[in-house]
Amino acid sequence: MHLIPALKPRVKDKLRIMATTLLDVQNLNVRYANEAGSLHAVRGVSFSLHAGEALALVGESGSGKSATAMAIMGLQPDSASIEGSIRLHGEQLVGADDDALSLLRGKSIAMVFQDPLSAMTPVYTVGEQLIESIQVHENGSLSDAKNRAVELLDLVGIPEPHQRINAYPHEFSGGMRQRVLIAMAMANNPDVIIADEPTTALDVTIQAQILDVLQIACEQTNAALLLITHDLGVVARIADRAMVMYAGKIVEQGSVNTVFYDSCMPYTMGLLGSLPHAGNAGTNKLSAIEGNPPSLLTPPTGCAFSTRCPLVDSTCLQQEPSLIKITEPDHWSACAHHQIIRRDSLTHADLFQPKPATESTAAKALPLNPSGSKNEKVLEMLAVKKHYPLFKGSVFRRRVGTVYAVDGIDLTIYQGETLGLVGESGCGKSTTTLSILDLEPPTHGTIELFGNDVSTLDSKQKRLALRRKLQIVFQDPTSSLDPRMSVFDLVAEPLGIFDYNPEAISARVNELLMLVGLDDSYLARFAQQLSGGQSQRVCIARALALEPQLLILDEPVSALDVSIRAGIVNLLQELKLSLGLSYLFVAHDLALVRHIADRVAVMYLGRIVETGSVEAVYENPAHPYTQCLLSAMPIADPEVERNRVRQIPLGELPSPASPPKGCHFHTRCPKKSRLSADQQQLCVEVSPDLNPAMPIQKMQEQDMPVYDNHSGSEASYQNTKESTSAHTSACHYNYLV
Amino acid sequence: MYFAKFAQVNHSATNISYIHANLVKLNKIYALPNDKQQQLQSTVGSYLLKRFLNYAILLVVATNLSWLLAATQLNPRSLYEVSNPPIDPVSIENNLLSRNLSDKVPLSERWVIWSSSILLDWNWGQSPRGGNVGEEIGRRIWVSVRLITLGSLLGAGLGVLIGTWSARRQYGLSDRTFTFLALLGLSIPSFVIANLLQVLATQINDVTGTRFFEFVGETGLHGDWFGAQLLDRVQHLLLPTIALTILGAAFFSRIQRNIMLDSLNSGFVRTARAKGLTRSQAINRHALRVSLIPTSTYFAFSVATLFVGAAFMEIIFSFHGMGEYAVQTIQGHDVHGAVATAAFGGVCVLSGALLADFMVAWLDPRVRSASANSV
Repeated sequence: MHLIPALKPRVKDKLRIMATTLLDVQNLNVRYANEAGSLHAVRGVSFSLHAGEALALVGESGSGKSATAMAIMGLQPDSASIEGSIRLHGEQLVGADDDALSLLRGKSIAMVFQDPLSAMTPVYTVGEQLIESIQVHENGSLSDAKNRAVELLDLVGIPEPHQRINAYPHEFSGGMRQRVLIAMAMANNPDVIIADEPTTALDVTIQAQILDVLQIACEQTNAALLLITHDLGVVARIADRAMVMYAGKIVEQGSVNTVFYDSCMPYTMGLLGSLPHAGNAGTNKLSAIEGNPPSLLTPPTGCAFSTRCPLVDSTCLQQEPSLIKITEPDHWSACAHHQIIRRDSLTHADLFQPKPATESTAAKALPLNPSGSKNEKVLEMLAVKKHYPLFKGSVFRRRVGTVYAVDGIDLTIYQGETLGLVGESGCGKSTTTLSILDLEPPTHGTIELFGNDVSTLDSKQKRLALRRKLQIVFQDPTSSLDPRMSVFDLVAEPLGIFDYNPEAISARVNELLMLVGLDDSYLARFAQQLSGGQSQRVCIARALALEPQLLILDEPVSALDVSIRAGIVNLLQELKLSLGLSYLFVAHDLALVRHIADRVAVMYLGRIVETGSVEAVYENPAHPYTQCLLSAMPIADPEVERNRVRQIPLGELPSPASPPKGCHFHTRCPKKSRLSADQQQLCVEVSPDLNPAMPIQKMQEQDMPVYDNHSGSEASYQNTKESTSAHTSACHYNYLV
Repeated sequence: MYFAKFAQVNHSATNISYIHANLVKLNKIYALPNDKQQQLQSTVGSYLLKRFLNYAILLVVATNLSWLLAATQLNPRSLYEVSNPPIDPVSIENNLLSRNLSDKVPLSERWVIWSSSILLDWNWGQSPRGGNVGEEIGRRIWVSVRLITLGSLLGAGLGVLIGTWSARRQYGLSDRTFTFLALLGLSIPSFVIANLLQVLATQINDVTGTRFFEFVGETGLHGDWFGAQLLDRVQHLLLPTIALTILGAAFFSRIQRNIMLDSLNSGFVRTARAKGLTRSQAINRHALRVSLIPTSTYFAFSVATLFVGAAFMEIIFSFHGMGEYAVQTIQGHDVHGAVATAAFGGVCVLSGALLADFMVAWLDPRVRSASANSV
């Protein structure tokens, strides 16, 4: 795999000359006509983008950030009407016809889209598509264009660009396709590159790679970057300036440092405070913004954020505050109370103080589960393997291989504990959760739930009895609620299966809704009448209906908007405490896992590569993969981001149908290159077991041999089994830092 | 599974796109390693071979089942029994026996004779009134080919044009007009359209006082100058071709419009425009090309099934092709003719399926590598 040199931390010239304004947007309004009326998606947005800078446009879904980008590109749908002014190099784009705009698109202003899987035409090779973007604007020869295309592919880190230029998009992974799309955007040295959520669909390690490529692209072409994202970590990492958008308006604007450290708009402050970070890990609650963004079908009379703002008073409701310059050189905010915020130097902690835990209401609503001691295991998986046959042929089917989805993992969850399971998509997290829910013996190994081996479940009754103690909450709340059922029916359904009587069901449903923070006005609603956060609350209520002991949470907040997430995370923590639940929390968001989990297991290609308490793993990650994941994780703190040295895994996740021999991670391991040839041999040939991961200082204190960490597999397996909560890592060179 | 698949074809061909989508999905999940180019070359051959074998088995089963049905349900004896003056029973029996049609002979014996004569001599048997079934079909196939080729090509072509045009102007006046016309074309039975055309043609002939439109049979009276014979055939083909074109265009314009709408809103069209292509360029180079994949599979199926499915056209325009023969054999208690027609229909449907697969593999690189990997 081709290696992208890790970029040096970007040390920006603080007095960067931003004299030339490339793109100037003034009082932009975008309206969409639809059945329900006119949706005023962008309401008077003004900003300018200067040469060489990276400007981030931050906001939740529906805030109007993509609509702004589409209006700039002139790619808005026909139903949209656009007013205002967009000038590129002084040339007015609003009202220009398609022919005129198409001369600029790709040439002066290029765009990278969110979903790389659908952004390329499936029937043309990546080379054809790349060459097309070159030739649209140039009358050069085909061979020149082809050479340039190979050059571009090389630049964005596509290995063997000469061959790969003839590949079709489907032969590339998502990350590779996004690289090609960035190459397309670079093709004609544009002045402006607009990137609309360029890494949202990608894994965290690939995200880190793509952000590097995007920076390379901007540096190579000298283009200004307009980055549209909801992820404050990405903003902190890449942007010079940031604009925060809410309900179609820019509510705060300034240099990244000002916005992150001196924000004086409650919405921005709330967003920053709602992110889990090292400081609020553990039992502390996140400061959540209550409520939902307003609908833009009817224009808000006062401040659009007033319904969710803790500082709201009568002045906020009278008229919408406009963007006012707060400090020189460039800090703007749209809040009537910005002076108070600045005077008292309020922080998000002051504004969005997490309410004292509503334990009382929850405890009243439900009695604690039959109290189990902390040492009672609710789940124990030993050497579990789940393999799927890979078939070929629809007529004469024959087996051509095996997908090693889960390949020998041990997991234990104790009563009242949260185990975080993290890893890239395709590493086997979902297969693990499904094989627990199956209540069937796995391909190999044993699964014990609440002390019952699932292979001994010989009757339907036994299975059902176990089933009710084990529930799941899925990633996408809207698609896991039947659109034809009311909230009452949805929550009551599991109770009906277990023959509760109608009065008991009705009482229980009310109780459950109260538990998840919804009142009984929601009973008659249908899924489409609920917001994402409310839907997830209904899903949680449904999962809790049968008083389960173990809840499997499969990415429970990743489909939700940033400002909604914190509320759900707080709810889950509350419920765990008051109901004595145990969680298996599956997520790719490492910061979130740190916040909510007690122990964490890192999974890679069907195996657990590192496990231990959250503190141990996050403070002293031993396995190179864990180190990579943590280093790829964006942190919403510009200073930290700028001074980070990243360790990013090379290339992409291999197919689980043909995992590499030896250590699964050796093909991507950044540590391996630092080893001697002999040492590397071991990585390639022998698969490492989970062994104690002790920091090197301790090893030296105890005068232990540093490299002798691959004893007989049986012996070491026994060791790890005895201390499931110990910090272990599956690397031959755990102690080599 | 295959029967179910084909049975649905005429009503809704959605399962083609379903299968297509599945193939695409499969390929997405298990992307192939780099060395698959070579694999691809060798596996396409074996893949086709397997497909053929599979189809052959399917055909044999289907043909035997239809023989069983025809031999037990049709009654060729009745043809002789109602004749006037009456024929004596012995000679009836002899007649039937000589053609392997006698219901007095056990079914198994008749089956052995029927199947062995096909296997050994490629002889599909005789009709009750005499005449070799194979020869008859051999002649009629070409009549059908002449009838449907031009009409179905024009229909599909026109349909794609109209569909693309409508999709680009969704809910505009022209889109609404074409939608209305297409639904009209689809809802009027084909024999009504054919008869209406004949009425119209007769009036034009009367008004102009010419015999420009000919609509009985394939050929008629013509001069002996060079090209007169060709002109005569074209004149006879004109009306059925118009009728088939209307039907095809109505059907394909709807399909193309819907598929095109999906394409127009897809991410890759947006990317193409972001590159600097104008809306028209992006649509023609990207959206249209992708939307032709599913449309062409529908086309492959519809052409193949038209061979036996254009019965009304053949009867109304007196083209003695396969469709007419299918109706005649069943009406005429012609066991062997009906079975042979059914077998021929099976061949048509399976070739349609194969053709559709070829089209997809040719047009869609995702399926190309997926079929090499997983079919």
